[in-house]
Amino acid sequence: MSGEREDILLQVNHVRYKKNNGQLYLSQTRVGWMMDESDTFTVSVPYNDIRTQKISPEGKPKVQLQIVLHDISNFTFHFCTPEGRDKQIAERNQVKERLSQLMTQNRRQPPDELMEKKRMLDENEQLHHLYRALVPTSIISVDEFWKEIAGQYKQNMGPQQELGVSGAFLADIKPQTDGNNGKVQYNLTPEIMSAIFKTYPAVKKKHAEYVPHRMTEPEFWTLFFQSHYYSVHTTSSMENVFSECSKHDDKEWNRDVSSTQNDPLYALNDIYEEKPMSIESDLRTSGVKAGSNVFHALMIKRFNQHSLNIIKAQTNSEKERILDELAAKNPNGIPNGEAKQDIQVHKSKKARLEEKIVYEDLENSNKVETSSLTIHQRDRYLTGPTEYSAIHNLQPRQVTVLHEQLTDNINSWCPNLHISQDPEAAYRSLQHFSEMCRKGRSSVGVNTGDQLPGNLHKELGQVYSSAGELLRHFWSCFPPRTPQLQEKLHKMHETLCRYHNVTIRPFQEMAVNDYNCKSDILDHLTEMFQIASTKFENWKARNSR
Amino acid sequence: MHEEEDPKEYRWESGYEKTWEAIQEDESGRLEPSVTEMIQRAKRRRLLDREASVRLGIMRHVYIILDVSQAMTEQDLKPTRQSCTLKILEDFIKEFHEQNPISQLGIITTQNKTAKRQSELSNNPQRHLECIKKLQDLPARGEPSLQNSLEVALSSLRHLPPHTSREILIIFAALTSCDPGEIGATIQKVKDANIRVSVVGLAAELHVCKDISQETGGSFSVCINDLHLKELIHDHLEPPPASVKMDHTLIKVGFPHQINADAKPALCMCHLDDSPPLNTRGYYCPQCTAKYCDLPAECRVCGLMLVTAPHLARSYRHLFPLKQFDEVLVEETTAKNCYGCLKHFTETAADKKVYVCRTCRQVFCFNCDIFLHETIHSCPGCASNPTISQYNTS
Repeated sequence: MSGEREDILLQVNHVRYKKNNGQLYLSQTRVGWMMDESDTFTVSVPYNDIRTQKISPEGKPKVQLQIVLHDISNFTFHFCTPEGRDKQIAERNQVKERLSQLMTQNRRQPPDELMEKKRMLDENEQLHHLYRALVPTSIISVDEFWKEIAGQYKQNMGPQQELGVSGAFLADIKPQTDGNNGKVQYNLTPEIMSAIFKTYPAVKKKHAEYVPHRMTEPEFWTLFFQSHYYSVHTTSSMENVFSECSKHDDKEWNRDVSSTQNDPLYALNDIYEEKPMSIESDLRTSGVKAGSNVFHALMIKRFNQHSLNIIKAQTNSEKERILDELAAKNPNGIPNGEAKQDIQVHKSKKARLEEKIVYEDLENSNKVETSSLTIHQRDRYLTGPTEYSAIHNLQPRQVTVLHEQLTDNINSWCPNLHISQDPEAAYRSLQHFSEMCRKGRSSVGVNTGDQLPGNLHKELGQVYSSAGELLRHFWSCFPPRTPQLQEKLHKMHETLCRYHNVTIRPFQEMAVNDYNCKSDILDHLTEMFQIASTKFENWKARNSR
Repeated sequence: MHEEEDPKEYRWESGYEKTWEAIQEDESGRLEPSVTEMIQRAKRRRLLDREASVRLGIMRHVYIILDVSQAMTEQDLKPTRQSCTLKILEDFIKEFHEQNPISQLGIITTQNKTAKRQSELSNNPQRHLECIKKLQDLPARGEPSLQNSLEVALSSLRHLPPHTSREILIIFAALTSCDPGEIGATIQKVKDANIRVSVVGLAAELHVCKDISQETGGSFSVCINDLHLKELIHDHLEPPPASVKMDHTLIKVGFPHQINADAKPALCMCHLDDSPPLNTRGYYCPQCTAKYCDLPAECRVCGLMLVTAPHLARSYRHLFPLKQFDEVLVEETTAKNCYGCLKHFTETAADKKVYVCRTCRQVFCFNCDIFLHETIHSCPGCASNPTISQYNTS
């Protein structure tokens, strides 16, 4: 193995490979086999290379496990403990389970990141353009791109959503009967299959064991539908694939029922005809008061089990998520077995009794805490900012004198027609002004929008959007309070200068030469760049002081 | 009204809706729909409950979570719940952007046990209206998922600055919710992020919806008919009281001029995907000179909020709200006509109660009272009285 100390998670002795005795080791990232009396590993396979593993069928005398790699080569290990065949089978199964666990764990990390990146590029055209504009021309390096720019987009992607299990999913399968042959057709979609796996983990295990070695998918699912999960009457009396599952389910059911039974606040004692739950020999009708009909009792019990399993599937997925998070933070420490997560807080008896007595709805509704608003200087809201000017106080006598002067002026005013304009000239100037108003503001600038050819226009749009993105990152660094932001600011400034030189100037030249446009198309964009660099210079000047 | 005659008859049994009973004619032969009046009186009572001098969250970021599951195909709201709700939402979106110019809206739908963000948070009503149009054709299927939709909304509301008011409005028609895990954990996350969740139910009261709205300080109500649904949704046009945890900070705002003498022709940043024309028509951001066609907008380049002064002035009505008028009997006043519409006060039931402004003592009829409080937000008596309007006694 490599020089690093890897923890050995599982070690099995008496494993033969190519007729040599040795030990099999499972570690965090690879599986290895070492011969007895040897120090080095003869076989060492990282999990990423393993495509699948196979086990020898039940009847064969040899108990073997085979690992198949992506390049079709395989390794076969023969378990030969002298303690007997059962022990061999047990060891082999243990190795197989652990191996599949570790394989899935290791497989999860790398493809996801690439898939994420691909997903982001596919979903955001703008990001795609930006990527193409910046990275190949080496304006910005790939890592920087993903770190700085794509970080924004990742936030907007939204969380990965899991699907819950619907309460009636089994009932919704709706088999169709073919009238002629009496055949019944079930439509199974991958969604329904994953829902079944989530709800019944025992079925998932059986599926992994039997398919595809022992039977094909359709056979497996036909047996499933014939089994106790879906129909009341189990058709075959012989040992079926799912009869193990039914025993497992019954055991779990009894466990769950007895855990709720012990709660004194739930008055469940009177729903039983006979004495309360104990492990009865006849497991079928335990815990249910359903009249005399044994089949009804059985069906009701099956429905209850189904509902309970669906609820457990939800809480299990939550536990798995917590375990995943733990594993992601600490990749070298996988908890062995289930971690006991106490999601529910154990309420005291007093609190529960109070819950039963008090109804929150009937109490007075509590008003939400609000903060009050006080307005100072009301005048400043109602009038604009005024200059503070000294107020001259006027005497009342002065007011009347001014008043008289004003009335006199108004009475004696007559229009002075000598300084007015000649009517022709006045009319012409009015016309001129109204034409200007009609044209609007666009008459001031150049109306180049109609004259730009389609391609150039589109390219211009793309240049604008990439430049806009870069400028956005630049402006988001202000005010640069932390050293990271300052660093980013420096980097962005450099990137902007480079972008300006590499992309914008050639574009302008191309526009002038190829399309014969006026040279002021990109004036606005250059202005934006100008403002950005001025801001940067100002900040640098201020900071270096 | 229907209950005294046939106590045992439910609507689904009879199949007839006795709508004629709800409408009554008054003496002059005009139809006064009494149902509308009942709703209006309820609204007036709600306005009374609102306290003055409460800090409001005016910069709002609201996500509407719309349930598009199987339950929306029910026809108890004509023609289907889905189309009725979408029509009401169209009006709501237009009104929302008019009354809250500096707020942003986003739309999320949930069906088939997942949630999808149909429209991002933005203050451009056009985009939302197009999205609503597309949703009319979306077939309603599957079961909704409250947890997934709350997570999607949370993922983008979480990153907003703390001085804004974050809200979620859930319009829920189903009676179940199919979630992948513990919804209690999600509710706790939402509460910690200071988000106020309100629910408008179309079918019945659900404990989980009531729980969510109580925990986060929002409101929960279930509609009776389509008019009531419209009222309940329009209730959310008003800014909610600010929670005590909200920060008060100064916000940088830009006021672009409309006419720029030396502006250079540019492409506008809001329509870059559709090849906008290169011209000088539009508003230039004062900080980075990026061009935008319409205000209010948030500058995509420098992040500055761009508004015009009238937009901000629209929120003045919250600072100086119109006080409630006193309700008096028509006999106690000397005025013969309403000051607002000059309607003569007759002996009908509608005119029994009139409303008197406390400051200028003018008398208004019921309709004018609602109109002044909802739309105009100022009293014409006070505004036309020179002494009162000059000195503005509060």
